[in-house]
Amino acid sequence: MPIKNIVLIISVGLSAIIGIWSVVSPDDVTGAAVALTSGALEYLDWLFMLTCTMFVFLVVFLAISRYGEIKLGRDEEEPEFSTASWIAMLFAGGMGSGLLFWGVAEPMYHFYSPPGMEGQTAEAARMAFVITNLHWGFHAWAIYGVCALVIAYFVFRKNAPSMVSTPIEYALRPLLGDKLTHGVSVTSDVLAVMAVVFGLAGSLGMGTLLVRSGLAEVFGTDPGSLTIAIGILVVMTVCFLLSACTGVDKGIKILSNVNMVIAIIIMLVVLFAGPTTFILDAFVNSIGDYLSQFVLLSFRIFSYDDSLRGWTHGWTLTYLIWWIAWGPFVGIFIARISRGRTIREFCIGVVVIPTVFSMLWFAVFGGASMYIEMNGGGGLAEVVFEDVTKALFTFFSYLPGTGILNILAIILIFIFLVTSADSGTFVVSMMTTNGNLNPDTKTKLLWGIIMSAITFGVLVSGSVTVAKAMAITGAIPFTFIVFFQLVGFFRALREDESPEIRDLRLARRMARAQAADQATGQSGGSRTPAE
Amino acid sequence: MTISRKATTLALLLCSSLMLSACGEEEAKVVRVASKNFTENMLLAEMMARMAEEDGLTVQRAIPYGSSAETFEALKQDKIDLYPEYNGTGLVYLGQPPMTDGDAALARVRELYGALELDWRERLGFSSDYVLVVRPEVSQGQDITKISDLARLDSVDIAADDTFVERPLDGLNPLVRRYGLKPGQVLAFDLDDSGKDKIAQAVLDGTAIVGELFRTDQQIASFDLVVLEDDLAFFPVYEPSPLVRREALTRFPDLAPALAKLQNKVTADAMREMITDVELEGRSVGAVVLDYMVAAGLLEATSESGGTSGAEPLIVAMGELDSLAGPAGKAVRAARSVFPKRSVAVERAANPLDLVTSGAARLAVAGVDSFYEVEGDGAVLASQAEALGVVGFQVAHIVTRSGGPAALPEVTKLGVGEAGSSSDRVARMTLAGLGLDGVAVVSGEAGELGIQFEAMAKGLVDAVFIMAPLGDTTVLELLEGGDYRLLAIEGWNDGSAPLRFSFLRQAQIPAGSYAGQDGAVESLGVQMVLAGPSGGREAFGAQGPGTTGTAATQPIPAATILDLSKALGTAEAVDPAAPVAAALRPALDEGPQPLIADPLTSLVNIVAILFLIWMVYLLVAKQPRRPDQPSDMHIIPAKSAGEADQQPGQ
Repeated sequence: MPIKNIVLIISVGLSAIIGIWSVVSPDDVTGAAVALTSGALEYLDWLFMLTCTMFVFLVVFLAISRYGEIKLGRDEEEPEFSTASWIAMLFAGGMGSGLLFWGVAEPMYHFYSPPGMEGQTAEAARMAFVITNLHWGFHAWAIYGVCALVIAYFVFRKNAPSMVSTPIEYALRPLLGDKLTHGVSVTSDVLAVMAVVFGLAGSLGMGTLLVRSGLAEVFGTDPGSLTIAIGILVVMTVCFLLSACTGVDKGIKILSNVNMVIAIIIMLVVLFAGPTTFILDAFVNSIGDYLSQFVLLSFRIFSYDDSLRGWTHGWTLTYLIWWIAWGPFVGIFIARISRGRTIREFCIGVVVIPTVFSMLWFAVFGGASMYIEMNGGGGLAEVVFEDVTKALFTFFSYLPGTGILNILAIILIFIFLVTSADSGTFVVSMMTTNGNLNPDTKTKLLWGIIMSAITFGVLVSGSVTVAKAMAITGAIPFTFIVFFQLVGFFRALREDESPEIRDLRLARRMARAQAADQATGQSGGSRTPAE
Repeated sequence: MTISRKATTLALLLCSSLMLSACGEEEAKVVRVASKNFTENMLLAEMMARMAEEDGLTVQRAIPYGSSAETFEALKQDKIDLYPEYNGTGLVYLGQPPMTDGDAALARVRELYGALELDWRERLGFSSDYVLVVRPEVSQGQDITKISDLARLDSVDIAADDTFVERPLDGLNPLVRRYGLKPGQVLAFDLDDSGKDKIAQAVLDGTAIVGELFRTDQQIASFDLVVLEDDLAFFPVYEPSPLVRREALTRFPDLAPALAKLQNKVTADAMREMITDVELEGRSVGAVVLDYMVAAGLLEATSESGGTSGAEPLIVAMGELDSLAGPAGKAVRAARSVFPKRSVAVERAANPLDLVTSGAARLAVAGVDSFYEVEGDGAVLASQAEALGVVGFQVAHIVTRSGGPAALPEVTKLGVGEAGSSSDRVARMTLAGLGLDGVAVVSGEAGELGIQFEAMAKGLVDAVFIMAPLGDTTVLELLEGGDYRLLAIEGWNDGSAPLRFSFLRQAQIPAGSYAGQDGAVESLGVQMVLAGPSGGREAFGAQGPGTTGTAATQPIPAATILDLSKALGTAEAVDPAAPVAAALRPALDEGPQPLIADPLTSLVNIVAILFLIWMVYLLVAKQPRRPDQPSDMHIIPAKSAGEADQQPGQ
């Protein structure tokens, strides 16, 4: 198809130009990216806040409305993956190593300097969990959920190709006209490919550095060595290419399950070796705090205080945009693994379960570190402010079995990276093979190697920041693409019905018709109560 | 599934029952060890706590607990079980006359405290008397060597700690009465708030003539203070030993033998070293005690470290030659007071700022010159670090032998510190600024100033260029060793040098600063600042996830910067040539803002709102009926069996 070729040509061309430019003069690129993003935040912060919050309410609406019955697949289809594997893959794809690092760091950060209140108080401790949950909870997963749902619906129910542009092509063409549709869908596909490529290059670059600092922490290797970084990248590339060749039902699934088990082991060790009651108290307390302040915080921009408005930009909105930036990638991936689930099941599985799990996760890690800070020896918070990556390993040094925990954490980060790279390769391959759900190995290998090459360039030129800035900046226009997707999705949804609903509606219509018959049969006057 | 569920339930039950039992008997099982609020007492208490732990007791620490009086009161009221107390102090508490004989004093307090159900255990082996100190110049100039010499002065301004001022029998007022002093101003400092340093500082800068310290205080040696002889034997002996509640000794039969192991295990010298480690080197009390006890054979080397040692040390970088007695020490002390829960370690490098920007150190002490690099004709700002506060000022000392060159332009070979160090950089800048292209700069080795002096003796260099604060001890010592002269830097203002190297400020080395220096010497200097990592590029806001990728270094939070700046206690502001932390820049009131938004804001928002309206329209618009509609879609038509069902409208 000619359109796909255009997407491929434009995205490869743009990637090459930006890639080379950012290796040649990383400062200019980052400067431009940051200027665009902070400009967008400065002028349109209300729009991003509103959009992301709207996603949360949309997901709730979909789950409880009659559309919840609709299946992402044929009506009689069964889910492709078991629920446990599905959730494990959601986590591996969606949050990855970020959870590990911010688990200790983020609650500590907000405990020390919460916006608009005094730090290191009991009040600040409560606020810290609320803010952390705001950033990692319903909003994050609702964004992923929406991005995934609009794709999954068209792919599995309408047998459309697994492309970002599909909802636009499918549902908006009659309204927009051929030319505009073509323009919007090419733009959205290009943006999506670029977001995945740069997002992954940045994330792999970052991740490699994290593993390197972890190794330095545990084995005392040189924390600044480029050789070690490239060694890690090579090993990682081999691993994810191997995993990618086996397909989503083997490689990614197995790795994600292993990862989930390791993550839960680490969490249980911290929970039961640490201040157990304190942590569980914190968890229960944070549920109430989060839920009761949810509406307030979902719209909070601190419009009356310029410095705090900056806080919202730097934290909440950056997080939200971050999640949108990962939208095309995680969305297509989540869509791929969600075949055969109903929309209701999907909304609960993608939004509620991960949110509850990450609340528990943050309560465990944040709670334990807060305990150290408030009742124990202390000294952790300053490490957090110094270096987020160090924080996790320093945190482990307070617990029994430090060495094992450190090694487990490094393995966990490594596998998270492999799964990210693996699923990223998979997604790009789908997008460049006309949305093929099981792209051929050759394409996957090609993209895997390209991705590693870019990461290599990023590492050698030391421009991890650039890749990251690019990834976030790509999310700004992509936000508008999501609007198109959503509109297309709802238009299609209106016309769709699950068999149950259809039966119900037909029954109602018949009842109404009967009632009408009876009414006309009777001598005018009063309306029938059957209505 | 059922088995694992059962196992989990069992594990949970087990855990909870363990926790319950732990809670129930916690009160009875824990030895509460406390200390007074100064370093020596904290070290001793930590030692006792460790010893008890070593013998299997569970210890709850309250180190430090409070002032002397508060701690003693807490012991009497059963709030704590033991703390290190001094027999001299013990006598004074009960209104007894002070004693100078340690054994007799111990026997007396044991007798007296029996009624209070308190027990004095074995002494630790040294005495920590009060001493009065004066500056060496005061001692020599006014011939004051004994406390009774102070009676000659018209008024005695004295710096002391709070506790000393309060003490009714061996404190300030009894001292004044016993020696018949004419009291002047009394400066009382809180020990919690680095009071010992402030006392020494007050004596050094002349705010007080005499200061009160302990014999074991590190400040006496660090600042070269003179201890006055207690010629009327006013101060009693103060030998520390654990003061324990009797009831605790019966409750914990292992406690007394554990404490007995500490008998005579600490000398005054060892104590002074430990105090130096804590107060100057910034190590944690726990770590210092652990090291000492391992070295003294009281603990196995494999013992788990506890307390705060779990956290990474906070590293303060400084130049190879920076002395902890000088401005660099001030920075370390500030770091220690702002980060009380972390141990503070010192690391040295040619350019300390490099350690900060690479993330190897959190803070650095450096001259403002370190932020710059020579480029072309002048200097450009090159470092990603930023200044957090002022610690002092360092001056260029160009030292030559008596027979050496008469002025700087006559020097042909100038010895400096190691390549990249402050002296290396400032020397090159000075020469460039003065247009002295003919002078060759010879770099030395890390931390070895002496080598350049040897080279000068051999004629390998004509002069040595040293950057140091005025009166730096290293420089003082080097200059005392031989017949040296300081060369002046003259003609700095004649050319464009002050513009090209704006951070090099003119300064004079006053006459008599160094041995054999007759007149004032014109020189250059730079402000020394405490530096930290700058925010670097603020990706998307000053903090948050967007910034974490910028480097290994996270900026220091604004509140902490303000604390650090306050702890440094310098009124002077940072040299405008240095990049200063945003937190220290004055907040500008932007004044009234215009109501009318700028056109770009309006435009962007109008476009965004129009977009939203368009989206709503697209959502609600009726599907236009077109005959060619299905074939127009670039979608492979669904081929599933349910296709007809899925598109009921068609």
